[in-house]
Formats: sequence, C-alpha cells, structure tokens
Amino acid sequence: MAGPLITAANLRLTYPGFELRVANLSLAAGEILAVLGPSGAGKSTLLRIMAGLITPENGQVVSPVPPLFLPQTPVILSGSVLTNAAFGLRLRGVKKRLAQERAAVWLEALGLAAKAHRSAATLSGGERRRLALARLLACEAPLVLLDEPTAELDPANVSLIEKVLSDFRFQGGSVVLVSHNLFQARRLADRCLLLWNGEVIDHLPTRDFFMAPGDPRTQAFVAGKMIY
Amino acid sequence: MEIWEITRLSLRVSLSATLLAALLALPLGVWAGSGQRKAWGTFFYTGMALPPAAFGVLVYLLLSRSGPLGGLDILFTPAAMILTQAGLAAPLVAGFTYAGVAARAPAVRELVGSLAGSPRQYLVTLFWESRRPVAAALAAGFGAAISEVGAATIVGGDIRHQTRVLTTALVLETRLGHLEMALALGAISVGIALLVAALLTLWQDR
Repeated sequence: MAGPLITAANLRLTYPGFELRVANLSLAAGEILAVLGPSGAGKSTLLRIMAGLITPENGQVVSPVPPLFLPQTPVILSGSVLTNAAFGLRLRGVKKRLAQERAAVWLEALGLAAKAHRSAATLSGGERRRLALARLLACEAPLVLLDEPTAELDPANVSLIEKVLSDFRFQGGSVVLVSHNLFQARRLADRCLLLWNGEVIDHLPTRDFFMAPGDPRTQAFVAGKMIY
Repeated sequence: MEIWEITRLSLRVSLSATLLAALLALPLGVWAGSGQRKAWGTFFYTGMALPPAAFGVLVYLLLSRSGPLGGLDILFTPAAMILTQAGLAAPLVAGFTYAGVAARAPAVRELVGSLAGSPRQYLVTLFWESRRPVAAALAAGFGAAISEVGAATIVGGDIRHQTRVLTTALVLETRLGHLEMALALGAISVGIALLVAALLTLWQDR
C-alpha cells in the first residue's frame, strides 16, 4: 500500500493538569513505532486518539484503514477462548465456523490452542492478554495499536509475542507499540518516540534513539536515570 | 377443574404482562444503560417502588366508564389485569436491565470500538453480554406480575371463571378457611415461578 498507513497531525488534548501535543506522526506499511515514556506521559491517550476512541480537541488522524487497538487491560467476553478469539472476525461478518478456524491459527501461534474450548473467564491475566492479541491479529488488519502487550507476561511469553509481532511486520503489518520495556523497543521497533508530560521529546530511528539521542531527557531516559 | 382454569388464566395474564413489559422496558433499559443515562435509571428505580394497589386504583380510574380510557370497556377483564401487571413489571424490567447494561457498557464499548465495530454491533454485543441481568430483570418482572394481588383485585374484580387468578383465589380461599386449597394454590405459584426461573437460567447460561 502506497503512502502512510496512519497520519496524525497537530493533535492536542487537554485534561486538568495535562496537555498532550503531537505535531506530526506517521507510520508506513511494515513499520513498528515504539512509543516510550514515563507513566502518565500520555502514551495510552495518544494511542486511543489514533484508534479513534478519543476525539482530540484539535488536529486529526487520517488512516485509509481502521486501526485496531489492544488496550492495557483487555476486555474478555463471556464464552470460550475460541469464541473470544473469533469475535473480531465475527464483527467483520465472517461466518462462525470460518472465523473460528482462522482464530484457532492465532491461538496456536500465541500458545493458547490447548485452552481454546475453555471458558475465557478461567484464563490468567497474561493469558487474557495473549487471547486479546490473538483476537486482534486474527482480523488481519494492516495496522494495530498495542498498549503494553507484554505487561505481566513471563519471559517465554514475551519472546513468543515479540516473534509474532516480528512475523506480522515482515508480512507487511504495521504496529504502534506502547511499552515500558526499552529492550523490547530496541529489539522490535524501527523508530522510537519519547513522550514526556504530553510532549514529544524525541522521535528518531531506533538506533539513533538509543545511541545518539538528541535531547538530554532522552539520554537520561534510555540510561534509566530520568527523574519523573 | 377450577384450579386448572385459574392456573391457566394466571399464566396467560402474567406471561402476557411480562411480554408486554419486556417489549417496552427492555429496549428502554438497554438504551438508557448503554448511554449511561443516569436520570432514566433514577426514574426506573422510582417506578420499582410504586405501590401496586395505588397503581391499580390509577388504572381503575383510567379504565372506568367515566375515565379517559373507559371506551375500551376492558375493566374487570383479563386485558385490564394484563395492562396493570405490565405497568408494575415494566419498571423492574427496565431498572434491572439498565443496571446490568450500564455496568458492562464501558468495557463492551471499548472492545467493539477497538475492533472498529459499528454502533449497532456495540448494542447487540452489549445486550448479549448483559443477558444475566436481563434474565434477572425478566424473572423480577414475571415475579411481580404473578405474585400481584391488590391491583389484580381492583381492576379484575376476582370474578369466578373470568378474572380469578392464583393470588386472588388464594386470598379468597384463606378468608373462607380453606387453608389446604390456599396452600395448593401457593404451591402452584411457586412451581410456575420455578419453571420460569429455570428457563431463564438456561437462556442466560448459553
């Protein structure tokens, strides 16, 4: 697909004591952008604006395809793991049987195949997160927005998800990834963006972000010395 | 036997009243809950506290010959009892539905929105995910309808072979000292309630 998959321009959103301002942001097909920053910097808010779940006071987000969004705390519906995994496809009008067949592939990829017919309510927090990711990726959308997809996961499952996201990217998928894990951003992302108190401090290719950051706050952040 | 005639009429009146209440109150409860319309919630909860006998008097005045709906000529008929019981069940159905739907609405809205679903899909998903409180709402509505006695007597008149239902018959038999018959009528009421609750439980656990 030619041109950016999503473009955000002149975004502004204010809450009492907080202002998010993003002048320009775009993502091409097959790219992973990591959005980094301390807690309360506005990362999740930015992602929600890009997903169309929050309307900014100013600016606009343009995307030729509706981006799909994985929230920090995924919502799990009643019913089985497989039913949940197929939910996004069912919203797209895919017949139940075909939707479940396609969803089962992603459950397998994310290590949940053995629990496909269990009640989703019995899953642990980490399993719920993987299920929500399977549900999202099963929709085969070219652009996904992920809010800390590996939080609360053990190292093996973090690796599993990172592999799934790498494969997704190599197949042309694009990801905006909010993470607190700098190593993960370094492993996965093509570009990194540092948000601090609602402001974009740096937005650089990953190598430059970690090796030669322009702003002293980015230098402090990647060195783990940032004072919040 | 008269007892089966009374049971059949009770079932007909209460199920019709619950259905009528559900047709109006379920969509209203879903609409109010899905949009977090708190003023409507207050309205429903107030309606839940409506004294049945007072509501019966109001319907009686509306349906009496000199009342605005007197032309319908349905006072002291099962139709009047259905209308009254539906009026009493509706706030319960709407209130419980509102509470259940409102509790689940933010999560379902986020989920459907995050998967780029439509507003219609949001409502359908929300309704399905709220089926337990909806089942409770219907059970409460049916319970209110089948156990109601004051308003049923006022607008139905407890006329033998015409408007005598389980509850009005139970009161009559108790007054006549026929306690075995009164207990039998009570047991039938409980049995019907159990059957309806079992059916609703099966539906909510699908």
